Amino acid sequence: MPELHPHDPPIVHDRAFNKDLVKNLVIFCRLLRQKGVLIGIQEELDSIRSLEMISVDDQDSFYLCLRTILAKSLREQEIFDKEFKSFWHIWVPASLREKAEKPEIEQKPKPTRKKKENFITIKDWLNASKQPDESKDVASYSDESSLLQKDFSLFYGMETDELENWIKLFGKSLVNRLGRRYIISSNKGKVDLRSSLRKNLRKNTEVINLYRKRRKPQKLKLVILTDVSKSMDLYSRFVLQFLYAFQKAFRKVNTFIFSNRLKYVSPLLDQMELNHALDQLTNNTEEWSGGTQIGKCFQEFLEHDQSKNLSKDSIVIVISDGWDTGNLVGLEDAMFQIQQKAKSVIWLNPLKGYHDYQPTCQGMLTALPYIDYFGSAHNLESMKELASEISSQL
Amino acid sequence: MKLDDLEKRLESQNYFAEPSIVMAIHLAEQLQRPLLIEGPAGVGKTEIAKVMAKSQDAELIRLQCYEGLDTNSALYEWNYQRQLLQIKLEERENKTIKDLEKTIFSHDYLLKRPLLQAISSSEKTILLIDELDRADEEFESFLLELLSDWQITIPEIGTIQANHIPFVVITGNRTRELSDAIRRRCFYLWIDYPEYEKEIQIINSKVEGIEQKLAMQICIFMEKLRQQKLRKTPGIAESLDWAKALVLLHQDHLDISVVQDTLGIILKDQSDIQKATQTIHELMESLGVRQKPLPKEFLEQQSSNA
Repeated sequence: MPELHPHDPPIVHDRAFNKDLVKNLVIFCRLLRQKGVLIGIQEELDSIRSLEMISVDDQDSFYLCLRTILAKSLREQEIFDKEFKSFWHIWVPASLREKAEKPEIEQKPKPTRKKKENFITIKDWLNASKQPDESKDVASYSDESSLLQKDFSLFYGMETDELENWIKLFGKSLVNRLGRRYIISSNKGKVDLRSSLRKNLRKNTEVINLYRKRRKPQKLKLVILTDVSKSMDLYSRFVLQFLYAFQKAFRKVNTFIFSNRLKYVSPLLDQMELNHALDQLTNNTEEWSGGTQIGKCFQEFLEHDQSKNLSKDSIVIVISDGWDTGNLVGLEDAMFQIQQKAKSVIWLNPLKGYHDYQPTCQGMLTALPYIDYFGSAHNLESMKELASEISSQL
Repeated sequence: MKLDDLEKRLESQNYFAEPSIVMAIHLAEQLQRPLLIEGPAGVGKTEIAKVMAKSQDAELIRLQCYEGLDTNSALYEWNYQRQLLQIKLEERENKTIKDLEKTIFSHDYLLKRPLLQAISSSEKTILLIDELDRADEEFESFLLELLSDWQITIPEIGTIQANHIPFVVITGNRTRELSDAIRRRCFYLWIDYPEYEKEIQIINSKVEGIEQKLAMQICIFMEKLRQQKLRKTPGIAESLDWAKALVLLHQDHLDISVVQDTLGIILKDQSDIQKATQTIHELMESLGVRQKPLPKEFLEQQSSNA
């Protein structure tokens, strides 16, 4: 952070005190624009007009005033703070200086700062924002595309937290965009002209009773069968995070984990409980050592499906790489039954992320004919595809 | 200076605002822009609109957004039933269709929802659009149009223009990213959890008869608690509830048993409560609360649970 140094030129020559304050303000706005803050002519005009509303020689007011007008989100505020310090450095109010000196709990090391911007760009992409921001695109295009393709296993440290958060947010945002079909409703919603006319014609000659329509909540059940063998553990957690966030879209969600045996984890309510439960369960090595036996576990699932998790309105998601040391016939049989009973079967295999992947392992080959959607869920791009698939089925 | 006046006005309503808040409100008022307020839950975003309304003696019109909010519920709707009845009544009288239309498409048959109320009000109002991120993008673009033109065209009546442009406050919970267009239209304010000194000031003003020691301890505790990664981090609203409850219980300081018993007031999620209970000793230590040494069996039990 540039601080006022004894060797700095005397105040009188400083830009900040240049008589043409308006000119400097415009230059500052252009600078911010270069750094990715969306500032149009209107904002520039507003900022100039606002100078009349405050006492310009008050550092705090000057800073706060410009920030309120020019920075329109938390991220833009951060950029603004940084640029303000270097541009108007004499006029940096004490509060802003203090902020930097205080040991920030949230302070991330410099290399990840850039990554943060990338995540924000991805967030826009995930939200499919309708106004493409050209300046943002130019700055981070190459980073963005590589980040979307980046395999989950390659994230580490702070990035994992960020990734988790974005996955959750994404899941939640999808919940808001569910199907827009309508059902008859008694008193809420738009008047359904068609129903009103038809129903009234039957009984009365006039249209007396009004029928309304509102959106119908589509609720299916979700059954998740997760492979928690070592190779799958990381991917499973990320996909589960996503599905947690998405859970509001489902009436009921049940999670099972399997490796060489099947275990019912919990209804998909609490993400922290899940991580904790997963840790506890998989740490018990005696139970979990030995090769994955997909067929046996699925058979167990079918046998003990007392609560009828599997039904025509449930979606089954299997997260596994298909490496199986067990009985293939059992697996085929189980897959057949699952496909028969459920609405659809989705299988997510991170290995599919490698571009020359061919399902050669026997387990995968056996299951393939009974799968409705075969996805990879190994990076953000594939998560988006998964989301579209699920949304289309809702 | 008008800024100071505003600060005093807010304080007179018991709202102690950070300088950034005062500046944002001041600019939004003066330059007649909507104010977009974002921040975590329970920090006083909605309060601002209420306080502004009271201090200016203006009407507060509130539009609570939700998923599926459409123009009918937000803007206006024709009172269909009344119109139908009127048509039936007027059957006998030989009115022309044009006259009939004039009757049933008049202001009497118009159900004014919040946005239209705000536009057609004869006095200055404060329009609070709460939790805009819960509505969808379609609604946002409709709102945008409204905020630019401040007029509505009702096909049957005509164009209604606003007599007084209301002071608009939009709040967002960040469950969804609001479109850039809305952001550009508004001035932006981010309200975070209050700093220690500010929180004490707020508690002192809103909770009568609270002991200073208790107020200080509550604020230190809350500050430490918020640093933990909780699912539902408590805001200033929870601090106030807690303070009021403790005063009712005639407490003048915090001790472990009271805190444990009243955790449900500040934490609304079971896993958060569990987490807080596990770390309660560290939290209490930061308050300088000295404890008796714990019995051996209790310590053993603690270490086996961890």
